[in-house]
Amino acid sequence: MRRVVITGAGVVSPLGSSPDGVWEKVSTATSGIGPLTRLKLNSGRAHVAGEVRDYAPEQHFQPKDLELLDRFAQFAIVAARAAVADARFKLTNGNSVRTGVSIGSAYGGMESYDSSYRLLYGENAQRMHPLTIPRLMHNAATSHVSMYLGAKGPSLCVSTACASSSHAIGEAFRTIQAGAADVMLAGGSDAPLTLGVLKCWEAMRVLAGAGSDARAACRPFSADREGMVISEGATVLVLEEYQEARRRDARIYAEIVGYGSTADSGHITQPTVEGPARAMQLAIQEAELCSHQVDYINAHGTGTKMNDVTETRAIHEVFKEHAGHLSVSSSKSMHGHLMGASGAMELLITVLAIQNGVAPPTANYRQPDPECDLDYTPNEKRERPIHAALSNSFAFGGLNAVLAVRRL
Amino acid sequence: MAVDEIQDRVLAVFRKNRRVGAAPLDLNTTFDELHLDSLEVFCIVFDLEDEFNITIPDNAAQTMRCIGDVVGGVRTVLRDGSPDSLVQQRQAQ
Repeated sequence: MRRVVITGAGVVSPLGSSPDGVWEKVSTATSGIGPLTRLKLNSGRAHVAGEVRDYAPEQHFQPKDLELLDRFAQFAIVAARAAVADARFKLTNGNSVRTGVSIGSAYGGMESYDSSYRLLYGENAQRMHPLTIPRLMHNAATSHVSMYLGAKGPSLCVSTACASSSHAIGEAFRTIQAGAADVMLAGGSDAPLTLGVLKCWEAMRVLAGAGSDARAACRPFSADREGMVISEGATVLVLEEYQEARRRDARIYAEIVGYGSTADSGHITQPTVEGPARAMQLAIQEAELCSHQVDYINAHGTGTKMNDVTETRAIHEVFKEHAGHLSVSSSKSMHGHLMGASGAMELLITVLAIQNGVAPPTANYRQPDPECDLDYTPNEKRERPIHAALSNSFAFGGLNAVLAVRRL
Repeated sequence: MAVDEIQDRVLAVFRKNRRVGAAPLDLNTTFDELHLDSLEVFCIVFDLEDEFNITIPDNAAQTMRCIGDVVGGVRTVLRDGSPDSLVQQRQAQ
Protein backbone atom coordinates (compact mmCIF):
# COMPACT_ATOMS: atom_id res chain seq x y z
CA MET A 1 0.00 0.00 0.00
CA ARG A 2 1.27 3.48 -0.87
CA ARG A 3 2.02 5.64 2.15
CA VAL A 4 0.76 9.20 2.58
CA VAL A 5 2.48 12.07 4.35
CA ILE A 6 1.59 15.69 5.10
CA THR A 7 4.15 18.06 3.59
CA GLY A 8 2.47 21.46 3.75
CA ALA A 9 -0.20 23.43 5.55
CA GLY A 10 -2.11 26.65 5.04
CA VAL A 11 -4.67 28.13 7.38
CA VAL A 12 -7.07 31.06 7.71
CA SER A 13 -8.63 31.03 11.16
CA PRO A 14 -9.70 32.85 14.32
CA LEU A 15 -6.24 31.94 15.65
CA GLY A 16 -4.45 33.61 12.77
CA SER A 17 -3.33 32.67 9.32
CA SER A 18 -0.10 30.73 9.68
CA PRO A 19 0.60 27.31 11.21
CA ASP A 20 3.25 28.86 13.50
CA GLY A 21 0.85 31.56 14.66
CA VAL A 22 -1.88 29.02 15.33
CA TRP A 23 0.53 26.86 17.31
CA GLU A 24 1.72 29.78 19.41
CA LYS A 25 -1.88 30.57 20.41
CA VAL A 26 -2.93 26.96 20.92
CA SER A 27 0.08 26.03 23.01
CA THR A 28 -0.47 29.02 25.30
CA ALA A 29 -4.24 28.44 25.69
CA THR A 30 -5.00 31.72 23.92
CA SER A 31 -8.55 32.01 22.62
CA GLY A 32 -9.47 33.49 19.25
CA ILE A 33 -13.14 33.61 20.18
CA GLY A 34 -14.83 36.93 20.90
CA PRO A 35 -17.97 39.01 20.49
CA LEU A 36 -19.69 38.63 17.14
CA THR A 37 -18.91 41.69 14.99
CA ARG A 38 -19.56 40.62 11.39
CA LEU A 39 -23.28 41.15 11.84
CA LYS A 40 -25.60 42.43 14.49
CA LEU A 41 -28.24 40.26 16.09
CA ASN A 42 -31.09 41.85 17.98
CA SER A 43 -31.91 38.87 20.14
CA GLY A 44 -30.89 35.38 21.05
CA ARG A 45 -27.68 33.73 22.20
CA ALA A 46 -25.41 33.75 19.17
CA HIS A 47 -23.47 36.86 20.17
CA VAL A 48 -20.11 35.17 20.33
CA ALA A 49 -18.10 33.72 17.45
CA GLY A 50 -14.69 32.74 16.18
CA GLU A 51 -14.16 35.34 13.48
CA VAL A 52 -11.25 35.58 11.07
CA ARG A 53 -9.94 39.05 11.91
CA ASP A 54 -6.63 39.28 10.07
CA TYR A 55 -8.09 38.86 6.60
CA ALA A 56 -8.66 41.50 3.91
CA PRO A 57 -9.99 40.04 0.63
CA GLU A 58 -8.38 42.75 -1.51
CA GLN A 59 -4.94 41.74 -0.29
CA HIS A 60 -5.41 38.37 -1.95
CA PHE A 61 -7.67 38.95 -4.94
CA GLN A 62 -8.41 41.41 -7.74
CA PRO A 63 -11.87 43.07 -7.57
CA LYS A 64 -13.01 41.21 -10.70
CA ASP A 65 -11.99 37.88 -9.13
CA LEU A 66 -13.84 38.67 -5.90
CA GLU A 67 -17.11 38.99 -7.83
CA LEU A 68 -17.00 35.21 -8.29
CA LEU A 69 -15.82 34.23 -4.83
CA ASP A 70 -17.92 33.67 -1.75
CA ARG A 71 -16.00 34.19 1.50
CA PHE A 72 -15.64 30.41 1.99
CA ALA A 73 -14.05 30.00 -1.46
CA GLN A 74 -11.67 32.89 -0.75
CA PHE A 75 -10.54 31.25 2.49
CA ALA A 76 -9.93 27.95 0.70
CA ILE A 77 -7.85 29.52 -2.07
CA VAL A 78 -5.75 31.53 0.39
CA ALA A 79 -5.15 28.45 2.55
CA ALA A 80 -4.35 26.26 -0.48
CA ARG A 81 -1.85 28.76 -1.87
CA ALA A 82 -0.15 28.93 1.52
CA ALA A 83 -0.12 25.14 1.84
CA VAL A 84 1.52 24.64 -1.55
CA ALA A 85 4.09 27.33 -0.77
CA ASP A 86 4.74 25.77 2.64
CA ALA A 87 5.30 22.40 0.98
CA ARG A 88 7.62 23.99 -1.61
CA PHE A 89 5.58 22.01 -4.11
CA LYS A 90 5.55 23.23 -7.71
CA LEU A 91 2.57 22.33 -9.83
CA THR A 92 3.77 21.67 -13.38
CA ASN A 93 2.36 20.34 -16.64
CA GLY A 94 3.92 17.05 -15.63
CA ASN A 95 2.35 16.61 -12.20
CA SER A 96 -0.91 18.58 -12.51
CA VAL A 97 -2.99 15.57 -13.61
CA ARG A 98 -1.66 13.60 -10.62
CA THR A 99 -2.62 16.39 -8.19
CA GLY A 100 -6.20 16.56 -6.91
CA VAL A 101 -8.26 18.74 -4.59
CA SER A 102 -10.58 17.69 -1.77
CA ILE A 103 -12.09 20.58 0.18
CA GLY A 104 -14.94 19.76 2.55
CA SER A 105 -17.60 22.29 3.47
CA ALA A 106 -20.70 22.05 5.58
CA TYR A 107 -22.26 25.24 4.27
CA GLY A 108 -20.78 26.15 0.89
CA GLY A 109 -21.36 29.74 -0.17
CA MET A 110 -23.66 30.61 2.70
CA GLU A 111 -23.03 34.36 2.56
CA SER A 112 -24.15 34.28 -1.07
CA TYR A 113 -27.26 32.28 -0.20
CA ASP A 114 -28.04 34.65 2.63
CA SER A 115 -27.57 37.92 0.75
CA SER A 116 -29.32 36.78 -2.43
CA TYR A 117 -32.30 35.22 -0.64
CA ARG A 118 -32.66 38.37 1.43
CA LEU A 119 -33.16 40.30 -1.83
CA LEU A 120 -35.63 37.70 -3.05
CA TYR A 121 -37.81 37.36 0.03
CA GLY A 122 -37.11 40.60 1.86
CA GLU A 123 -36.95 43.10 -0.96
CA ASN A 124 -39.16 41.40 -3.53
CA ALA A 125 -36.35 41.19 -6.07
CA GLN A 126 -37.51 39.71 -9.36
CA ARG A 127 -34.16 38.33 -10.43
CA MET A 128 -30.93 36.97 -8.99
CA HIS A 129 -27.45 38.00 -10.06
CA PRO A 130 -25.98 35.64 -12.71
CA LEU A 131 -23.00 34.82 -10.49
CA THR A 132 -25.13 33.59 -7.59
CA ILE A 133 -24.97 29.87 -8.44
CA PRO A 134 -21.21 29.81 -9.10
CA ARG A 135 -20.67 31.60 -5.77
CA LEU A 136 -22.87 29.47 -3.56
CA MET A 137 -22.26 25.93 -4.82
CA HIS A 138 -20.53 23.69 -2.30
CA ASN A 139 -17.84 22.62 -4.76
CA ALA A 140 -16.87 26.24 -5.53
CA ALA A 141 -13.94 26.04 -3.10
CA THR A 142 -12.60 22.82 -4.62
CA SER A 143 -13.15 24.13 -8.16
CA HIS A 144 -11.45 27.47 -7.55
CA VAL A 145 -8.52 25.83 -5.77
CA SER A 146 -8.10 23.53 -8.77
CA MET A 147 -8.18 26.54 -11.11
CA TYR A 148 -5.99 28.91 -9.10
CA LEU A 149 -3.37 26.25 -8.37
CA GLY A 150 -3.57 24.30 -11.64
CA ALA A 151 -4.52 20.93 -10.14
CA LYS A 152 -6.21 18.61 -12.65
CA GLY A 153 -6.38 15.30 -10.78
CA PRO A 154 -9.30 13.67 -8.92
CA SER A 155 -11.21 16.44 -7.14
CA LEU A 156 -14.31 16.43 -4.99
CA CYS A 157 -16.25 18.24 -2.28
CA VAL A 158 -17.39 16.29 0.75
CA SER A 159 -20.22 17.71 2.82
CA THR A 160 -20.76 15.82 6.05
CA ALA A 161 -21.60 18.68 8.39
CA CYS A 162 -19.03 19.01 11.17
CA ALA A 163 -16.93 16.11 9.88
CA SER A 164 -16.66 17.43 6.31
CA SER A 165 -12.95 18.18 6.22
CA SER A 166 -11.95 15.05 8.14
CA HIS A 167 -13.82 13.02 5.56
CA ALA A 168 -12.31 15.17 2.79
CA ILE A 169 -8.81 14.43 4.08
CA GLY A 170 -9.65 10.77 4.65
CA GLU A 171 -10.93 10.36 1.11
CA ALA A 172 -7.89 12.21 -0.25
CA PHE A 173 -5.69 9.82 1.77
CA ARG A 174 -7.52 6.90 0.12
CA THR A 175 -7.10 8.47 -3.33
CA ILE A 176 -3.31 8.58 -2.94
CA GLN A 177 -3.17 5.13 -1.31
CA ALA A 178 -5.08 3.69 -4.26
CA GLY A 179 -2.71 5.28 -6.77
CA ALA A 180 -5.24 7.62 -8.38
CA ALA A 181 -3.17 10.69 -7.42
CA ASP A 182 0.27 11.46 -5.99
CA VAL A 183 -0.65 14.73 -4.30
CA MET A 184 -3.95 15.97 -2.85
CA LEU A 185 -4.71 19.47 -1.59
CA ALA A 186 -7.11 18.45 1.14
CA GLY A 187 -8.95 20.25 3.90
CA GLY A 188 -12.04 22.28 4.53
CA SER A 189 -13.54 25.74 4.42
CA ASP A 190 -16.62 27.39 5.86
CA ALA A 191 -17.83 30.95 6.35
CA PRO A 192 -21.09 30.39 8.22
CA LEU A 193 -21.38 33.62 10.19
CA THR A 194 -24.64 34.72 8.61
CA LEU A 195 -27.95 35.67 10.18
CA GLY A 196 -29.67 32.56 8.81
CA VAL A 197 -27.07 30.08 10.02
CA LEU A 198 -26.73 31.64 13.46
CA LYS A 199 -30.49 31.76 14.06
CA CYS A 200 -30.86 28.13 12.95
CA TRP A 201 -28.09 27.01 15.31
CA GLU A 202 -29.61 29.06 18.10
CA ALA A 203 -32.79 27.01 17.69
CA MET A 204 -30.80 23.81 18.36
CA ARG A 205 -30.07 25.18 21.87
CA VAL A 206 -26.44 24.13 21.73
CA LEU A 207 -24.75 27.54 21.47
CA ALA A 208 -22.68 28.98 24.30
CA GLY A 209 -23.61 32.45 25.54
CA ALA A 210 -20.99 35.17 25.80
CA GLY A 211 -21.15 35.27 29.61
CA SER A 212 -18.82 37.68 31.35
CA ASP A 213 -15.87 36.79 29.09
CA ALA A 214 -16.64 36.00 25.47
CA ARG A 215 -13.15 34.56 24.96
CA ALA A 216 -13.98 31.80 27.43
CA ALA A 217 -17.44 31.01 26.03
CA CYS A 218 -16.42 27.54 24.82
CA ARG A 219 -15.48 25.25 27.73
CA PRO A 220 -15.30 21.65 26.48
CA PHE A 221 -15.37 18.87 29.10
CA SER A 222 -15.72 21.42 31.92
CA ALA A 223 -18.79 20.86 34.10
CA ASP A 224 -19.91 24.44 33.54
CA ARG A 225 -19.82 24.17 29.75
CA GLU A 226 -22.69 25.84 27.93
CA GLY A 227 -22.24 24.69 24.37
CA MET A 228 -20.39 25.40 21.18
CA VAL A 229 -19.22 28.57 19.45
CA ILE A 230 -19.55 28.92 15.68
CA SER A 231 -16.44 29.99 13.80
CA GLU A 232 -15.19 30.51 10.29
CA GLY A 233 -12.01 29.70 8.41
CA ALA A 234 -10.16 27.17 6.28
CA THR A 235 -7.27 24.78 6.51
CA VAL A 236 -5.68 23.03 3.54
CA LEU A 237 -2.98 20.38 3.86
CA VAL A 238 -0.70 19.02 1.15
CA LEU A 239 -0.99 15.23 1.22
CA GLU A 240 1.72 13.50 -0.72
CA GLU A 241 2.76 9.96 -1.59
CA TYR A 242 5.68 9.15 0.71
CA GLN A 243 8.27 8.09 -1.91
CA GLU A 244 7.53 11.16 -4.04
CA ALA A 245 7.91 13.38 -0.98
CA ARG A 246 11.23 11.70 -0.13
CA ARG A 247 12.44 12.03 -3.71
CA ARG A 248 12.02 15.79 -3.65
CA ASP A 249 13.33 16.01 -0.10
CA ALA A 250 10.15 17.55 1.24
CA ARG A 251 9.78 18.52 4.86
CA ILE A 252 7.34 16.01 6.39
CA TYR A 253 4.94 17.05 9.17
CA ALA A 254 3.64 13.54 9.86
CA GLU A 255 2.33 10.41 8.18
CA ILE A 256 -1.38 9.70 7.89
CA VAL A 257 -1.67 6.07 8.88
CA GLY A 258 -5.36 5.42 9.41
CA TYR A 259 -8.83 6.63 8.59
CA GLY A 260 -11.99 5.39 10.22
CA SER A 261 -15.34 6.34 8.73
CA THR A 262 -18.62 5.15 10.24
CA ALA A 263 -22.31 6.01 10.52
CA ASP A 264 -24.23 5.81 13.79
CA SER A 265 -27.41 4.83 11.98
CA GLY A 266 -29.10 6.19 15.08
CA HIS A 267 -30.52 9.64 15.66
CA ILE A 268 -30.21 12.69 13.43
CA THR A 269 -28.65 14.82 16.20
CA GLN A 270 -27.93 12.63 19.22
CA PRO A 271 -24.64 10.80 18.86
CA THR A 272 -24.10 7.19 19.84
CA VAL A 273 -21.06 5.85 21.66
CA GLU A 274 -20.73 2.94 19.28
CA GLY A 275 -20.37 4.91 16.00
CA PRO A 276 -17.53 7.20 17.14
CA ALA A 277 -15.84 4.31 19.00
CA ARG A 278 -15.88 2.14 15.89
CA ALA A 279 -14.41 5.00 13.81
CA MET A 280 -11.51 5.34 16.29
CA GLN A 281 -11.05 1.57 16.30
CA LEU A 282 -10.92 1.39 12.50
CA ALA A 283 -8.35 4.19 12.30
CA ILE A 284 -6.15 2.49 14.90
CA GLN A 285 -6.46 -0.90 13.21
CA GLU A 286 -5.52 0.45 9.81
CA ALA A 287 -2.55 2.21 11.41
CA GLU A 288 -1.48 -1.14 12.88
CA LEU A 289 -1.17 0.58 16.22
CA CYS A 290 -1.84 -0.92 19.62
CA SER A 291 -4.08 1.37 21.60
CA HIS A 292 -1.29 2.05 24.12
CA GLN A 293 0.85 3.50 21.30
CA VAL A 294 -1.57 6.41 20.90
CA ASP A 295 -0.42 9.33 23.06
CA TYR A 296 -2.78 12.14 22.12
CA ILE A 297 -6.33 12.63 20.88
CA ASN A 298 -7.53 15.92 19.50
CA ALA A 299 -11.15 15.45 20.51
CA HIS A 300 -14.20 16.57 18.60
CA GLY A 301 -14.91 18.31 21.94
CA THR A 302 -17.58 20.76 20.88
CA GLY A 303 -18.40 21.87 24.41
CA THR A 304 -22.00 20.66 24.29
CA LYS A 305 -23.37 18.65 27.19
CA MET A 306 -23.99 15.63 25.04
CA ASN A 307 -20.97 15.43 22.74
CA ASP A 308 -18.39 15.65 25.48
CA VAL A 309 -19.92 12.85 27.55
CA THR A 310 -20.49 10.57 24.57
CA GLU A 311 -17.00 11.14 23.21
CA THR A 312 -15.50 10.42 26.63
CA ARG A 313 -17.41 7.13 26.79
CA ALA A 314 -16.31 6.22 23.28
CA ILE A 315 -12.65 6.85 24.16
CA HIS A 316 -13.04 4.63 27.25
CA GLU A 317 -14.59 1.91 25.14
CA VAL A 318 -11.74 1.90 22.62
CA PHE A 319 -8.75 2.47 24.91
CA LYS A 320 -9.87 0.60 28.04
CA GLU A 321 -7.20 0.90 30.77
CA HIS A 322 -4.97 3.07 28.52
CA ALA A 323 -7.67 5.77 28.34
CA GLY A 324 -6.39 7.41 31.53
CA HIS A 325 -2.86 7.66 30.11
CA LEU A 326 -3.93 9.54 27.00
CA SER A 327 -3.57 13.27 26.64
CA VAL A 328 -6.88 14.49 25.26
CA SER A 329 -7.78 18.07 24.38
CA SER A 330 -10.33 20.12 22.55
CA SER A 331 -8.72 22.94 20.63
CA LYS A 332 -12.26 24.16 19.88
CA SER A 333 -11.98 25.81 23.30
CA MET A 334 -9.73 28.32 21.50
CA HIS A 335 -10.76 28.36 17.83
CA GLY A 336 -14.42 27.41 18.22
CA HIS A 337 -16.27 25.18 15.80
CA LEU A 338 -15.27 25.95 12.23
CA MET A 339 -18.06 23.64 11.07
CA GLY A 340 -16.89 21.79 7.96
CA ALA A 341 -13.40 23.26 8.31
CA SER A 342 -12.89 22.07 11.89
CA GLY A 343 -11.46 18.63 11.19
CA ALA A 344 -8.68 19.96 8.96
CA MET A 345 -7.75 22.70 11.44
CA GLU A 346 -7.66 20.11 14.23
CA LEU A 347 -5.57 17.67 12.20
CA LEU A 348 -3.11 20.51 11.60
CA ILE A 349 -2.97 21.15 15.37
CA THR A 350 -2.54 17.40 15.93
CA VAL A 351 0.47 17.15 13.62
CA LEU A 352 1.97 20.29 15.17
CA ALA A 353 1.53 18.60 18.56
CA ILE A 354 3.47 15.59 17.23
CA GLN A 355 6.21 17.82 15.82
CA ASN A 356 6.57 19.83 19.01
CA GLY A 357 6.17 16.97 21.45
CA VAL A 358 3.47 18.93 23.22
CA ALA A 359 -0.14 18.08 23.93
CA PRO A 360 -2.03 21.36 23.53
CA PRO A 361 -4.45 22.29 26.31
CA THR A 362 -8.18 22.47 26.61
CA ALA A 363 -8.63 26.13 27.49
CA ASN A 364 -11.31 27.50 29.84
CA TYR A 365 -11.49 24.28 31.85
CA ARG A 366 -12.96 25.23 35.23
CA GLN A 367 -14.75 22.34 36.90
CA PRO A 368 -14.40 18.57 36.59
CA ASP A 369 -17.48 16.80 35.28
CA PRO A 370 -17.91 13.32 36.80
CA GLU A 371 -19.07 12.09 33.40
CA CYS A 372 -15.97 13.49 31.68
CA ASP A 373 -13.14 11.79 33.50
CA LEU A 374 -10.18 11.74 31.10
CA ASP A 375 -7.04 13.88 31.14
CA TYR A 376 -8.20 16.80 29.00
CA THR A 377 -4.91 18.68 29.43
CA PRO A 378 -6.72 21.44 31.34
CA ASN A 379 -5.59 25.00 30.63
CA GLU A 380 -1.88 24.25 30.22
CA LYS A 381 -0.02 22.36 27.55
CA ARG A 382 1.78 19.19 28.51
CA GLU A 383 5.17 18.25 27.10
CA ARG A 384 5.32 14.60 26.16
CA PRO A 385 6.61 12.69 23.16
CA ILE A 386 3.70 12.01 20.82
CA HIS A 387 4.35 9.04 18.57
CA ALA A 388 0.85 8.63 17.27
CA ALA A 389 -2.34 10.61 17.63
CA LEU A 390 -5.97 10.70 16.57
CA SER A 391 -8.10 13.58 15.38
CA ASN A 392 -11.83 13.01 15.94
CA SER A 393 -14.73 14.54 14.02
CA PHE A 394 -18.33 13.55 14.65
CA ALA A 395 -21.09 15.16 12.61
CA PHE A 396 -24.76 15.78 13.19
CA GLY A 397 -26.46 13.00 11.32
CA GLY A 398 -24.16 10.47 12.99
CA LEU A 399 -21.36 10.51 10.41
CA ASN A 400 -17.98 10.00 12.04
CA ALA A 401 -14.45 10.46 10.70
CA VAL A 402 -11.27 9.74 12.64
CA LEU A 403 -7.77 10.29 11.26
CA ALA A 404 -4.68 8.61 12.74
CA VAL A 405 -1.29 10.26 12.28
CA ARG A 406 2.19 9.16 13.27
CA ARG A 407 5.53 10.86 13.71
CA LEU A 408 8.07 10.13 10.99
CA MET B 1 -35.46 58.54 -25.71
CA ALA B 2 -32.90 59.76 -28.21
CA VAL B 3 -30.81 57.13 -29.96
CA ASP B 4 -27.61 58.76 -28.81
CA GLU B 5 -28.74 58.68 -25.23
CA ILE B 6 -29.55 54.94 -25.37
CA GLN B 7 -26.20 54.28 -26.97
CA ASP B 8 -24.36 56.32 -24.36
CA ARG B 9 -26.10 54.54 -21.52
CA VAL B 10 -25.42 51.08 -23.00
CA LEU B 11 -21.76 51.97 -23.49
CA ALA B 12 -21.59 53.28 -19.92
CA VAL B 13 -22.91 49.95 -18.62
CA PHE B 14 -20.23 48.12 -20.61
CA ARG B 15 -17.59 50.53 -19.32
CA LYS B 16 -18.57 49.83 -15.71
CA ASN B 17 -17.80 46.14 -16.18
CA ARG B 18 -14.38 45.40 -14.78
CA ARG B 19 -13.54 43.04 -17.61
CA VAL B 20 -14.26 45.63 -20.28
CA GLY B 21 -12.51 48.51 -18.57
CA ALA B 22 -10.86 50.92 -20.97
CA ALA B 23 -11.12 48.84 -24.15
CA PRO B 24 -12.24 50.85 -27.23
CA LEU B 25 -15.98 50.43 -27.75
CA ASP B 26 -18.33 51.12 -30.64
CA LEU B 27 -21.47 49.55 -32.08
CA ASN B 28 -19.45 46.99 -34.02
CA THR B 29 -17.43 45.82 -31.04
CA THR B 30 -18.22 42.15 -30.43
CA PHE B 31 -18.28 40.33 -27.12
CA ASP B 32 -15.56 38.05 -28.48
CA GLU B 33 -13.30 41.05 -29.08
CA LEU B 34 -13.84 42.07 -25.47
CA HIS B 35 -13.01 38.50 -24.36
CA LEU B 36 -16.35 38.24 -22.58
CA ASP B 37 -17.52 34.69 -21.96
CA SER B 38 -21.24 33.87 -21.77
CA LEU B 39 -21.33 34.22 -17.96
CA GLU B 40 -19.78 37.69 -18.20
CA VAL B 41 -22.24 38.70 -20.92
CA PHE B 42 -25.10 37.65 -18.63
CA CYS B 43 -23.67 39.90 -15.91
CA ILE B 44 -23.72 42.85 -18.32
CA VAL B 45 -27.25 41.96 -19.45
CA PHE B 46 -28.24 41.94 -15.78
CA ASP B 47 -26.87 45.46 -15.39
CA LEU B 48 -28.62 46.60 -18.59
CA GLU B 49 -31.95 45.34 -17.25
CA ASP B 50 -31.38 47.53 -14.22
CA GLU B 51 -30.29 50.55 -16.25
CA PHE B 52 -33.38 50.55 -18.49
CA ASN B 53 -35.84 48.76 -16.17
CA ILE B 54 -36.57 46.10 -18.76
CA THR B 55 -36.40 42.31 -18.99
CA ILE B 56 -34.21 40.83 -21.66
CA PRO B 57 -35.49 37.36 -22.62
CA ASP B 58 -33.16 34.36 -22.50
CA ASN B 59 -33.15 33.82 -26.26
CA ALA B 60 -32.20 37.44 -26.89
CA ALA B 61 -29.45 37.41 -24.29
CA GLN B 62 -28.08 34.25 -25.87
CA THR B 63 -28.04 35.60 -29.43
CA MET B 64 -26.54 39.06 -28.86
CA ARG B 65 -23.07 39.21 -30.39
CA CYS B 66 -22.08 42.87 -30.41
CA ILE B 67 -22.87 46.18 -28.70
CA GLY B 68 -24.97 47.22 -31.70
CA ASP B 69 -27.31 44.26 -31.06
CA VAL B 70 -27.86 45.54 -27.55
CA VAL B 71 -28.44 49.16 -28.49
CA GLY B 72 -30.84 48.16 -31.29
CA GLY B 73 -32.86 45.92 -29.01
CA VAL B 74 -33.15 48.46 -26.25
CA ARG B 75 -34.14 51.18 -28.71
CA THR B 76 -36.86 49.01 -30.27
CA VAL B 77 -38.60 48.15 -27.06
CA LEU B 78 -38.35 51.65 -25.63
CA ARG B 79 -39.98 52.95 -28.82
CA ASP B 80 -42.55 50.22 -29.54
CA GLY B 81 -42.86 48.27 -26.32
CA SER B 82 -43.42 45.31 -28.65
CA PRO B 83 -43.52 41.97 -26.84
CA ASP B 84 -42.05 40.32 -29.94
CA SER B 85 -39.08 42.63 -30.09
CA LEU B 86 -35.62 41.63 -28.98
CA VAL B 87 -36.19 43.23 -25.63
CA GLN B 88 -39.44 43.17 -23.71
CA GLN B 89 -40.64 45.88 -21.40
CA ARG B 90 -40.44 44.47 -17.94
CA GLN B 91 -43.73 43.88 -16.11
CA ALA B 92 -44.52 46.60 -13.62
CA GLN B 93 -43.26 45.40 -10.26
